[in-house]
Amino acid sequence: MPKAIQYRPNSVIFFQGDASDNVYILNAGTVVMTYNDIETGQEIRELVKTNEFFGVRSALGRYARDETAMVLAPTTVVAFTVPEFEQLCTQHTHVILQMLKVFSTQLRRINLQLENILSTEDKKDPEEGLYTSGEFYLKNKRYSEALYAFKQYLVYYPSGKFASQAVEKAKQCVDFYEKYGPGTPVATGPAAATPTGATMAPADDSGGDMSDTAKEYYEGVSMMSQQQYAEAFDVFMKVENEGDSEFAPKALFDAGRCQASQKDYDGAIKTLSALLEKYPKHPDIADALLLIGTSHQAKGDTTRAGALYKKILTIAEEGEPVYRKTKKALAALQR
Amino acid sequence: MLNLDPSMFKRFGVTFQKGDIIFCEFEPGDNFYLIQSGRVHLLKIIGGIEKTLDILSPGEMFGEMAILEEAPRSATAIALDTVKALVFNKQNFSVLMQGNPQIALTLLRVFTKRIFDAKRRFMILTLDDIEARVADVFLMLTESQVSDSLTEGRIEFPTSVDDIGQWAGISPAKAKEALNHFVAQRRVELYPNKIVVKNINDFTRFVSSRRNQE
Repeated sequence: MPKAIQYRPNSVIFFQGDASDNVYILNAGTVVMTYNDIETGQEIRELVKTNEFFGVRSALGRYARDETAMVLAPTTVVAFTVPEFEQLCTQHTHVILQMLKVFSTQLRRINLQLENILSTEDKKDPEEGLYTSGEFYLKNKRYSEALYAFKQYLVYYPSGKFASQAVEKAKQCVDFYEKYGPGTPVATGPAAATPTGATMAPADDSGGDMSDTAKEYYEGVSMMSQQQYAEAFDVFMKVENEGDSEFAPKALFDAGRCQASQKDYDGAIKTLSALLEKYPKHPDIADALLLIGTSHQAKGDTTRAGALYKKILTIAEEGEPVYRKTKKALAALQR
Repeated sequence: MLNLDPSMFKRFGVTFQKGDIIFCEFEPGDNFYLIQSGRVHLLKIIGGIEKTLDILSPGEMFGEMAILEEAPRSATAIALDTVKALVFNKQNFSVLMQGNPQIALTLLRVFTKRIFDAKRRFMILTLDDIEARVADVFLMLTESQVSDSLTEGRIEFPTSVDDIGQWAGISPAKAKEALNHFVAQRRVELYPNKIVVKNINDFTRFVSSRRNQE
């Protein structure tokens, strides 16, 4: 049963750091909430308005209080246990709406503060982010995911800076999808609009007409995406040894990625150098060079890394993701 | 699992088949979802690798930031099974809430957790000392129980150096450097699939002293 409690001036209802078990509403009097701004550390004092709830967030989440509630004048509050507060909310939905507004404002503010404090270096604008998500999935042979991302890109950015590439790549996805199967089917829900008019082949979990080598290779990709790098590396090396003209170079490249992900930089450099030697016309040559460069950098050899980054900029085209990544890596190195 | 009126699903229900993409990272979002059945995989591409953020079960909500504004999705959501979910947006939310306030309570709790997590993360980033940041990441993970306590003070974290760097707001190389220093001091052990902090209480004291100095 909620109970009314009276406080004298200078009493403390709860201290910052206290365990939270009650939610309060101010009936009459003056209560000030004191807390430190997370960004500046400056002490902030805010008065609670009459009939306003306080102490809700910490009580609902069972976190320690992050504010001190102090009484400035003779005051009456009503204390609710969490179940009592929840009961009240279900009967008076406007209370929840009011709290949702408060919480969403707080959340928006703190997210902005987080964004401000984090380096903007890795921030992608959403347009580029959505397009590069598609590229990521395409590169990892996840055609249904890639197709979804490119289609959604075209829904939201029909005249965007990557629109023509997105159309081309969506077509590529459909071709690959028909040839190799989807991996996972595309959404049939309301979000899966098809602005390009590209038609999907029926989902086929068996992987269509894929060769055993292709299946092995995609198994390796799947392991790699689950961060099972050691296992994926073994699969990729097996595929490479089989010598398939399409999958052997891809497998060697991904084997190098697995080694780099495991911080085996010497191994990655060796594997990727073998790729450059054996398959000098491989389409991922610039990516392989970038990985060799970052491996050298991780080992502390910034001279070699820098030289490789400069070389990549002469062979990759501006606008390609590898070009942008390399520019960024080089800028970071020169800082 | 929320005990909802079945007519709710008729009005607000959506079904995704196994493997369906519910939304993609960076896509603008105006809907949020409450899972009725099935599981949803939340993942994000970080540094060219796809990382699992969470696997959600019935009764859990996702995409809730859409109620704030049409912000880009911060992760990709994929159906792990056949997923039945209620789909909400700003427009239908108040209608829905009148009959089902428990959904709004769920959302309130989700926001509570998001605010707490964001503030905790922020606390890490306010530390100037890189090693203190890295140590504070382990304290945060201990608080959220993403760790296995072995013996008193010794805790095993199933996490990678890159993840630590991500939480600490530093590059993987800097995270590695800080961790290597801890290894040299015998405060941390690094393994391919885990990081062991030998005495978490030592990290508590270390972070606390750095905070006081700053």
